[in-house]
Amino acid sequence: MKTIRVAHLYYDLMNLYGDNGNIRALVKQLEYQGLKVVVDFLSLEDIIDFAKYDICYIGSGTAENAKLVLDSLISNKESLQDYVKSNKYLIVTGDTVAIFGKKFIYQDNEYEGLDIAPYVGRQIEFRIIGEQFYTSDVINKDIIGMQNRETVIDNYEEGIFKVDVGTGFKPKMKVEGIRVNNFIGTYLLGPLLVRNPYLTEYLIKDILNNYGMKYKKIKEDISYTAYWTFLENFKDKENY
Amino acid sequence: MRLFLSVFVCKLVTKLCRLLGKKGGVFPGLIVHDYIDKHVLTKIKYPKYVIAVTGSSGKGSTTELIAHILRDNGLDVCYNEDDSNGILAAMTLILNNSTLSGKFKHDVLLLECDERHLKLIFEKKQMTHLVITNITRDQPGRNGTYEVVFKDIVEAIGNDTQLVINADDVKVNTLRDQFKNVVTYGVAKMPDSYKKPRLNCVDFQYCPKCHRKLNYNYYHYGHIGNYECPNHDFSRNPVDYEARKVNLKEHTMQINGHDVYLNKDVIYAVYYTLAAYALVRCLGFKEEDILKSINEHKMITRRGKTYKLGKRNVIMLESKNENNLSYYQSLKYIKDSQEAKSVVLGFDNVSRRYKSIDLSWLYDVDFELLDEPSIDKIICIGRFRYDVATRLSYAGIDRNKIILVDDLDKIIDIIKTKSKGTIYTMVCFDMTELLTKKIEEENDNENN
Repeated sequence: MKTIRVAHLYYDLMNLYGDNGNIRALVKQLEYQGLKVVVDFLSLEDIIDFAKYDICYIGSGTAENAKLVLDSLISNKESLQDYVKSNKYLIVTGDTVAIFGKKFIYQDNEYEGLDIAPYVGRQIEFRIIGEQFYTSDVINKDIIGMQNRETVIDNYEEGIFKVDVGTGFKPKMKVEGIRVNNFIGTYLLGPLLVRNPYLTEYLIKDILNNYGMKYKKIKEDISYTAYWTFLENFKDKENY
Repeated sequence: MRLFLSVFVCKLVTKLCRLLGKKGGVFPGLIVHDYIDKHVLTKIKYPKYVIAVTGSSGKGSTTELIAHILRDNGLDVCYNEDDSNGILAAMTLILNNSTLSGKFKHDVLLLECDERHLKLIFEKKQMTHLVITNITRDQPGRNGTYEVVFKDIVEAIGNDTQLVINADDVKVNTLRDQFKNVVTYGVAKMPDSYKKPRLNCVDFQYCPKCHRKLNYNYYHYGHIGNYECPNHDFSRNPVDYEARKVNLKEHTMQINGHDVYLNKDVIYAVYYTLAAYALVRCLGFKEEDILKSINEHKMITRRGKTYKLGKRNVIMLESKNENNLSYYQSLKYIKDSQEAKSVVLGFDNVSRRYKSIDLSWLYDVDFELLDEPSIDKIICIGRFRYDVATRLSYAGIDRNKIILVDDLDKIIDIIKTKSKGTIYTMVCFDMTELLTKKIEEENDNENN
């Protein structure tokens, strides 16, 4: 049985609201496909050997904690970049995306970023909080989720999601979501991969392609009904 | 003149509200705040004791017990008994209990305060005492993060304010070094304390000074527990008041060696009793007088409301949406009850304070506690029932145990015919009313 190694990075620091749901969804889906999944939980005091992993995930957190993560990863920047160049998966949600650009501006100071994509992450003086509805060419289905953030992304317009309701990389922008090889970053936080079963299907199919495996849909997965009911109740509704 | 007008109008509008059959808890304050003087509370002549209780949870129960002890010891206490804890409710209460010249009429003003409104209520930091119960993830749509909440609380604290803080909470305990008048309390290891968190959603796991990972001797729930920095930069210990030998089943514990009665068999009762004890000691009351009020002149309360449905008990537990630690206490209570049971879960609205349809918090709630052989069925109701059922499936709960109710008119019939055992409901405010009504209707029909 093929083993997939997953690293939930900074699990005890970047977990603003319900982000653990994404690891649960990945594990459930991958195991159903017949893969053995091993998850390591690593954080500030651990040595991260990216070469060991097939999928890494970092959840959302405060800008202060994102800066701690940046400080922790910056010395490992080259191996992180090699990891992304080798087409392994790095999924990042919430404010954490802001440290993966060329620069991160925090408390008016400019810091070297992890340089996965050519943008600038910048802390702002207010919070952006709200439910989001996106569409994407990647999957032909709506994407639902929540933002609760205190950073924006400057100098980047190539979002993989079109924002129907909500905020893009920054206020008034209507695109969001970054993909560079298999680095996938979004300001959506929480259990994104539970709440968007079609997006998760897409991701799992993509991962399985690497192993020449075919996707099997989970039978009687209630998350699909939850997804459709949510859209029916709340998309394009003024008063909910 | 504005002060006189504010008090007069507040009292008048309150009377009009009551004539119209309304409670008038918030509206009079709103009229004064929006049309007369939004800063009127800075002009009131306050009594010797101005006590506030704030935090993400437990503040209502703490306030209630403080009021009980103080009244039992002969003080004339005015407090917000109806649980309204924002600026407008505080304005109504304070103005209605002041003379037209603005002198507060009671010995003690005691307020359960919304953690974001504390600085608005006490703009000039008039509190003499402030109890802080905890800071946890709560109402993300409104608060953003716990850092925002904490900052707002700190802005309300004056240099002379006597703080009474829960040192088991890492974030709250940072105030120990920031302010000079600080009394701390905490709970020693209990039988249910644990060494490793069950879910990866625990806040404040790093030392606020050196950022080393804190060593926890034990957790009580969430991030609440006993911890220390490996560099010795920060620690929960020592505390001024410590609860030991807690026995929830027997409703007993000790505070600094004294036996103390718990009026509920849940851990948050340990915390609110301890907090109330510590606060009243700060006011200079003798230990024996406080103990008499808690142990002999007991404040009667019970956990949730109990009804009958046929021969089965229905226990309605309180749980706040968007607050995983509030849910934890109710889920733990259900798990620990030995009898056969079924559970009703669900809500139509995420929040009663603001519009929200965010469900991220469901994954911070330890629903795994319901993966329990003594539970016969889990009945999911409300607009988000499929999302709740999805979360339960991730908690490993057998799909055959989960019943989804599409038509709420059939809820009683479903409970009666498809589930067994005591019925625990863990529904939010909107569904509590509906369920209560349906149970009462059913009981009326049976009696007729």
